[in-house]
Parts: sequence; structure tokens; C-alpha cells
Amino acid sequence: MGRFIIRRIALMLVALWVVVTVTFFLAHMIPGGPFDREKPVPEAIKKNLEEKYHLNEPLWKQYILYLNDILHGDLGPSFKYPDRTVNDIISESFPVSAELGFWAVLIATVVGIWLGSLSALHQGGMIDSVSMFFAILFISLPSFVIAPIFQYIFGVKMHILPVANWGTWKHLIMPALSLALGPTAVIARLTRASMLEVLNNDYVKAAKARGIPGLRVLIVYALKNALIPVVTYLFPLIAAIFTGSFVVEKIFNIPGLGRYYVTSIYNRDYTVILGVTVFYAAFLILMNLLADITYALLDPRIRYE
Amino acid sequence: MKKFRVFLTVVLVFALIFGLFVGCGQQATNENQQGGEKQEQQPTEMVLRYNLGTEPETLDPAKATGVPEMTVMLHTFDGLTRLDKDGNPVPAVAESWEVKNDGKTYIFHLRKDVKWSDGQPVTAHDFEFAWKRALSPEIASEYAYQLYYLKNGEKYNTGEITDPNEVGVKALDDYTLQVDLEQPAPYFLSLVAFPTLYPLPKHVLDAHPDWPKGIDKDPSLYVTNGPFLLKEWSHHDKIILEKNPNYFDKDKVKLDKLVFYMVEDENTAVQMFENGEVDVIDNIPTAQIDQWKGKPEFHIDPILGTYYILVNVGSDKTMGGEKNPLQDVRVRKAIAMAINRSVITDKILKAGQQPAYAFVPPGIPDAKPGTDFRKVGGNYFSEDIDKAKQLLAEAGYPDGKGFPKLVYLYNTSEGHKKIGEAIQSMLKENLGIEIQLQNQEWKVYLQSRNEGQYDLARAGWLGDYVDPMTFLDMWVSTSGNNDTGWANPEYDKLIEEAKYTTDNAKRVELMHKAEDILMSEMPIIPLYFYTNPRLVKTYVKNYAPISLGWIDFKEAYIEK
Amino acid sequence: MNNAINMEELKDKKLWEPIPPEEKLGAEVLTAPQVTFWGDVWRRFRKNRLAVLGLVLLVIILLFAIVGPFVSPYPYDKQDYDAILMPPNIQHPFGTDYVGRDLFTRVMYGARISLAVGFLAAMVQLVIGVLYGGISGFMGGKVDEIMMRIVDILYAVPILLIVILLMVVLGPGLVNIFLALGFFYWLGMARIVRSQILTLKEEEFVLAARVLGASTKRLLLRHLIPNAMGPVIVTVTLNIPNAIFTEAFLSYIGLGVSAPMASLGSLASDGVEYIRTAPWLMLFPALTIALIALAFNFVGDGLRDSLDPRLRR
Repeated sequence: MGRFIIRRIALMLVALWVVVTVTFFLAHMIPGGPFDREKPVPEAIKKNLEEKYHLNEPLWKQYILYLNDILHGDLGPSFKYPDRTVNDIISESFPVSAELGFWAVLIATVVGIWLGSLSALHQGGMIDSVSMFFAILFISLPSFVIAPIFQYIFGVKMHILPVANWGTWKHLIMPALSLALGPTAVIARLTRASMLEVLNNDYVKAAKARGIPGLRVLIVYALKNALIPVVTYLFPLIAAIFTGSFVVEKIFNIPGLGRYYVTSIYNRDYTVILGVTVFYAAFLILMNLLADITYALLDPRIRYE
Repeated sequence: MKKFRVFLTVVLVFALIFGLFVGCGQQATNENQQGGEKQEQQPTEMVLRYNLGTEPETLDPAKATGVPEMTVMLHTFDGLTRLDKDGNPVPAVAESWEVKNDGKTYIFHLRKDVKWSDGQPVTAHDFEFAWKRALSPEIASEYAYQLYYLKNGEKYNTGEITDPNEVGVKALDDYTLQVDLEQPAPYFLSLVAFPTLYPLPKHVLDAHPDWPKGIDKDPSLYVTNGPFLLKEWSHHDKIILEKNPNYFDKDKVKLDKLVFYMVEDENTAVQMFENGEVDVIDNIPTAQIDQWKGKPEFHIDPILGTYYILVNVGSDKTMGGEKNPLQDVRVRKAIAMAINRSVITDKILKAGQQPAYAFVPPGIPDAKPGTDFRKVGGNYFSEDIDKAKQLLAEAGYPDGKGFPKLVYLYNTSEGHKKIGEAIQSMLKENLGIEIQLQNQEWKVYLQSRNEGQYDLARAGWLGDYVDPMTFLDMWVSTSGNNDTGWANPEYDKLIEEAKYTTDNAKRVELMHKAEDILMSEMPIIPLYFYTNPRLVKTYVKNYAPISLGWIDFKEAYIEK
Repeated sequence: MNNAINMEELKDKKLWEPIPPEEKLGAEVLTAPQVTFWGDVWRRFRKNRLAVLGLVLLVIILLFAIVGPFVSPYPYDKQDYDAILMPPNIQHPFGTDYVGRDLFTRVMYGARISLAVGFLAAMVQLVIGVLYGGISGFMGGKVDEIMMRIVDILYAVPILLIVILLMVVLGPGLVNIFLALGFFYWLGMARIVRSQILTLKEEEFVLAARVLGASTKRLLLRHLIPNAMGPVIVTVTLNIPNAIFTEAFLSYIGLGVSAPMASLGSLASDGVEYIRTAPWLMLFPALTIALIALAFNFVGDGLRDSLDPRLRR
């Protein structure tokens, strides 16, 4: 097991390096730079700016400089927000996204597993069809459609929740719900499929045949094996949600990390693009690693090396 | 069972990690809650909430370029003058001034009672320091060109001169500032109200060279001299300003607190307004305008700006590789006359915009007081489909036959898309010519324009100051803003002459002549003049909308 | 007990009845009707309520998207300034948009574009994924390990970010979208194909084919890949709606198809600002997306259930 983990960590570092390199060169390939404005900056000033940020040096040199900085933990200054560093930006916005994400994942997991189990137990019946129908309907509506609808109903019409911004528990509810809908449906379906498979297994049938009551069968025998695929789905989901959703954060004006993905690209804010990408990649890799470990621990059929 | 134990351990680890996040989250939420409660209006506190729209990039007057930044600094600083709601400069830190040397030298006499927020007096040295700093190559300020009016300003900025003492600004003593200009600029008094020319606390910057870094963590570091002080800056969330108790003009300031939200989503902003979470918003989405028209909250504030189409005159070939028909002025005029502007302004935009038949917008005074440059200049053409068809035929493309497909470039945005679609449809129907719409992401679009990689391109220009020159000097053949490739030596001469003329009447006449040339050649096709629709709660009184696109709440108050 | 057979008695011919010739061959009488693999799958599929519903929906939507635009009296880009933002009525069953275009026609047209994007993106993923996974699984050993390590590394790349970057570099356009989508989302497909091939490789029928002298090419094409297709088809059906959603997201951030062309995603995101004043602009495209996703998901789920030998009913 130990050797397995070490190999994976080594792979992690290689993966991170690939991500940094690919993103670096792609980002610099996009036409336009951080200092292009509608009222064009006079040449001399532009030259000054570019010198200041090393943008006038050959690309491979900038790359090496950047790698060096990263290894020292310095993700650089933001081009668009010159008084802030990328480290600051990430350390201020990530906890917000993470908090929102935590609640979204919690809701999705609890409701999803419950719904999925229910459907599996009543396979083919009304409950199954209806809940699966709605589950899929929810994955199918884009979040930029659902969020404004929520805002209108709960905010403007019913006045019980603030329409946007961040700060109190009330501000959490709508964005968390918007974020949770999709994953709830996915978890529900995963749980259902997995439960069905497990419930049809011989050892479960055997337990039932021996007269063990249904609920006990469910919890002790079926659930923990059925949850394996759910757990492995959970880790990358956490990575995706905790790092923020651009749409939800924009619509609800939440100061999280998600919006930086898209806006930094539009601003050609190279350091932020790279910083955010690297951070996300590292987080994702960590989650994948945890997922693999869990999977290996839980399912003895999987053999690694 | 062993497996179960392992599973349990994993769950425990999970719970721990989650617990950590929740703990941190709770802390943050609690702090915010406390902050939130403090912000709850105490019955005696007057608070106004405004949506800034975008997070300011920086609050350094030398480096700021956009409206959000300017708006915040407008409330935290005072320059030599300040603009009133008609855009006219009134004395602020400077209580009087003398103009000498045919308009090339200004002597400003500063008030003696203006203080920085840390108690130190604001002196002429602070102005000299700030202006030289804005021009210094190390700061690399994008708006340094606002200071090119100063003698040797440009040379110092480009590095031609290295001694800042050669720049034409000097503190004669603590309260007297002498400014020497390269050429007379009649609007210079408005210019000094511009944020790039605000004073800076020299004593603070000497101690903190990378100021204003860190003001988000310690707002008291943001030492300013204006009607409000920075209390809090929560990125992408809100900025809180509080009344400055040491402000020299504090009797005019009635608000205790200003909260600037940074909500980018227009839809969300309107919903917040309806839900009573914000008091003033700009940028109403066109979809919502109809339901607000006629309501007392709906205001159309003036703004100096023109929306127009750039025509690529400089290129011999179109984007499709064929001979460029746009080089023929008749074709340009035909296109200009075949667009139904009122459909765009009344049916698509619906915010009271005015169709434009010239480039310089109304709202700029002409030579005689009380007159308007645009009124005096009049319209240069009118919409006439028959005449347009005729012109097109004369140019060799009767009914659009043989006319190559042109690329219409716009930067990705709902509004520009709608306008582009309308124009595409109109030109097809009225003239029989085909336009291909191409949208590019903002920076790509800017670069394409710069490099002439377009046939027609959508563009907009907002005035930097209240004078026709800000709309006319951009079309000079050497201007970096002229993306059309159009060059007219007569035009260049007129503009140059106007810049050096001290007689205002003569200057205005020269500018009219210049616009005559611009509109008879039409390298740009004006579409409409901007307006600034706003939603303002009826209990907000006395705010000053400045036609440069800003809003000034210095003397505003709430009356419930 | 004496049950010993009396051999003398048995020799009496009258005790024996000859078997008629027709029954001599096929000694085993088949008790169940003969089915092919796919016939069986179809039979089971038909029994699944949701799956059939999905299939019906799919057919309707396909008709709507393919035939619809030809039948409609309005071209999708005709602007009518006197009919701006009209609610659904007889002339315009879905209402009109902000320049008076008929929404019904635009939704049909948009469905066509979205389906094309979804389908083509899924195809690109399929081809790349099957090739990569097939080769990796088939070769096994070192080659497999290296190829899978590459996949693991690529899994760490935040793909959406790269897609966005790529779209900014390439510019908007239909071809760019489905290339970008297909090009980067093949990883999951590769893994599935590989694991399928790995299990199948050990099956007896493959061993038999090898013994009979089948070439590698024949093995791959005739035996392995067709049998691996089950989960692959299911994945493809479920990937199509994913591609459509990603395109909707790209439209929302401004990287979708160019005006006046419209996909369901761009129609829905254009409609968001009219959610209060003209909700039909967002409602109909969003519902159409939802229905397409529903259809594909039910069909995909149904296929998965039908293909799973353990759920045989």
C-alpha cells in the first residue's frame, strides 16, 4: 500500500508539471495581452508595463522564471489587480467557495443517497419512475436558468432570502441549492444503479432468505458496498465544487474562486490563470488520489501492482 | 468486519476534514454576520447603497483607468477642482487660480484647511509629488497621457528626459502650485479634477513605497483627503466608505456611509433593487427597461458618448480577399443612410438613446455660453434609402450586385449582438448587401481592430473631458485610437491649429470645420449617442450624475 | 431391491417404438424461441417503461429538429420589428424574441445545432477513446501501463479551463466547439473501452478464436470491439447531453456559436435576461434541452439495464 501511494504521488507531481506547462503556453498563445485597452495605451507606456512584468522577454525565459517562482510558493502578482498577489486572491476566495461547496456536497450526498436507495428498493414502481424522472430533469436544466428562477421566487416574490451577495446563512441557501441539484441527481442515479446491483447479489438474497429483516439487510449488507461508486464519484465532485462554479458565483455575486477561471482568461491575467489552474489541478489530483485509495481499501477485488 | 472498520476510518477522516472547513466557514460567517449587523442601519445613520458593478482594479489614482475605480476615488479624494453636476469645474483644494502666459501657465492657490485623513495638511508638494509619480516610467501608468499637457510631461514618461524636475509642475511654497503647459488647454481646469491628477500623501508614500498595496487588509493605510474615507474593501463583494469628519467641506456631506456593491450580473442587480437591497444601480438590462419606463425610479442621465461603426478604409482588400468597396466614400455614405437608427434605439435598446448623424454628442457647450456644440453643428446626413441605393449604384453595385461579403466585428456581448443582427438585416433588405457577423472576445477584438483585421467594426467612445476635442483628436492620422486607416492632412492641420489657439471662439470654429471633414469622408459611421439609464430609489435625493459616466454622491441624502 | 433390468424382456420389439425420421436430428427440443444478442437486448428494452418513453421522445425531437426548419413559414433570422417580444400565440406558438424572430423556428433550428454538436462531439470522443482504449487494453503489459499513466496524468488537467482557453484561441464556431469538446473528453471513454477489452480478452471465445488461427486484426474487429460495444454505446448516449450542456455553458460565457446562428444553449442564455418580461424566451429552449437530456438518459439507462446479464428478467 505504501509503495502504491508513493508511486501515485510521483505521478501527481508529473501531472502538475504537465498542467503548468500546457496552461502556460496555451495562455500566452491567446491573442491580446493584459494591457490592451479600448483607449490604447501609448507605446512608451506599454513598453514600461511589459518590462515591469517581464512580458518582453522570450517565452521560454518567462516560463523558467515562473517555474522558479512557483517552486518557492510565489504565484506572482495579478496583472489586472496590481495591488494583489495571486496567493492573496486564492487564499481569500477559496475558503468562500469551499464553504459553499461543502453545503452543496452535503445536501447532494444526503438527499441523493436517500432518493437513490428509495428508488432501488421500489424498482420499476411509481416512486422509482417519478424520482428518476425528476432527477434527470434537474441535471438537465442549466444552472444559469435555475439560479435566476430561485432569485425571483425566494427573493423578489417571497422576500424571504436575499437575492445575492455573501455573509449570512441566508445568503448560502439559494446558491448551495443551485449547486447541489445536478450532483443530487447524479448521486441518486449512481446509488440506485449500484444498490440494484448489490441487492441482486447472492449474498444479499441469502441474507433475506435467512430471514434477516429488510432494513438490517439494507444497512449492514447492501449499503456499504453500494456506496463504493458513490464515494469514488464524491472525491472529484468535491474538487469541482469546492473550487467554485463560475455561473453560480457570478449570478449570486459570491466572492469565490470560481469566477476567476473565466474572468482571468478574459483579462489575460496570466498569473491568475496559471495560479488558479495549478491550484485546481493540485486539488483535483489530491482528490483523485484519495478516491483511488478509498476504492482500493473498500473493494478487495481491485488489485494495484 | 475489517473492511467496515477501514470504511469507518475513512468516514472519520472525512468528517474531520469537513469539520475543519465548517469551522473555518463558521468563523468567517460569524465575522461577516457581526459585520453585517454593524452595517444594519442604525436609525440615525444615513446609508446609501450603490452598485459599482465591477471590482476596481486598483485604488491608486495614478494607475486607475476605469469607471468603477474613478467612482470610488471621486468620493475619497479631492483634486484642485471638482466637477459639479453639469461637468463644470468648481474650486476644491484650490480656492483660486491665475492663468498667465496665453493660457500656458496656471498658478493655483490652495486652501489652507484641507487635511489628509491622518491629520497632516494637504500641500502643493503633495500635488507635485503625485503628478510626477504618475508620469514616472516605473509606475507605468496607463493614463499618464492625461499629464502630457504638462511641459516635458511626455518626454519624462517616455524616458527622453530623466530628471523629473524638468516637468512643468512645481510647488512654489506649501500652498502655491505653478503649472506650465506645452500648449494652452482651455479645459485644463476640468482636467485637474480627473483622478490621475489627484494629490497623494507624500509622507505616507515615502514610508510605504508600494502603496496602496495592503489597503484591503488595513483600510486606514488609504490616506485620502475627500468627503469619505475607506472603511472596508471586501473583494468582489463590497466597499464601505464613511463620512470624513475632517473634510473641509463637510457641511455639504449629509450621508454617513456609502456601500458600494460589486455585482456584475445585471439581472441580479435589478432583482436586488426590487428587493430593496440596493438604492441606485446603473446598467439596466435592455430586457427590463420597458417595465421601468415611466416609473419615478427610472432616470436617464446624460453621458458623453457615441456608438459608431468603424470602417476599414486603409485596407485595399476585404477580409474575404476581394477589392474593398469601403474605400469609396459613396459606399460608406450609402451604408450610413440605409440604417434605420430609430429601430435600434427605440425597439432594441429602449433607453432613450438618440440617433446620431454626427460624431460629437450633445452636452458639450459651444463658444457662446448656453449653446451646445452639437446643436450648432447640426446633423450631417439623414436616413434615405432611395438616396442610399442611388449612391451604391453610382459606386458600381446596383442593388448590391457584385458587392463582396463584409465582416462586421463586435466584441461578445448581448447588446452588440442585437445591434449587429439588426444592421445585418437592414443592410440586406435595404441595399442587398451581405454582412457576416463575427464576434470575438474583448481582447482579441481590440487586437483585431488595432491590426485592421476587420471590414466594419462596432465601437464606442466616451469623452474624457467636457470638450469636443476629446471626440475629434482621435481621428488624427497619427492617433493610436484611429483604427480606420483614414488619414486626411487637412483634418490633421485643423486639429493641430485648434489645440494651439487660445481664442475659444476661433478654436470652436476650427473644430466644427474638422467635424465637417470627418463627416463628409465618413471613415466612421455614427449610430447613436449614449444615455445612462439608472434606477434610483425615490428616497435618494440630490445625487450628481456627471456626464463622463460617473456619479457623485457627495451632496446626496436620503429622505424617507 | 431387485430393480435389475431384465435384458430378455427388453429384446421384445413390441416394447419399442421407432423414432420418426424428422425427430432424429436436433435431439434437443428447443424450449425457448431463438434470439440473437441484440434481439434479446431489444426485447428487454421494450419492457422498460422509461426507456421506451425516452426513445419515443428522441424520435419526436429528431423529427422536430431535422424536418421542422423546412416546414416552418419563418426563416430563423427574419427580424420583424412590429412583432417584438410577443407571447406565444397562434402565429408564433413559442412567441417572438427581441427583434421579432419566431422562437418556434429558432428552437427547432437550435435543436438541430445542439444535437449536431452533441452527436459530433460524442463521435469524436468515441473514435479517439475506442482507438486509445482498445489498443491499450489489447496490448496489455508495458504498453497498457504507459498509456494508462498518460490518461491518469491527463485526468488531472482541469479540462474545462483548457477548453475555454482553446475556444478563445480558436475563436467561435461550430466546428471548433465540437472539436474542442470531443478532443478533451475522451478520457472516460478510453478507460471504459480498455477495461472492457481487458475482461473480454480472457473470455473463452477469444481463446477459441485464437486457437482457430484468427489474426490480431480479426480478433479486434470481429470479436473484441463488437462485444465491448455495450457499455460504450451506453456511454455515448449519456455523453451527448453532456456535450450539449457544455456548449450551453460556453454560450453563456460568450464562446458559443456566432449570431445569428443559434444553439439551444445560446437561446437559453440569451433568454435569461428576459426571465421576468418574456419568460418564454428562456423557457422553451431550456425545456427542449431538458427533454433531449431526458430522452438520451432514459435510452442510455434502458440500454444499460438491457445489456446487463445479471438483470435478466
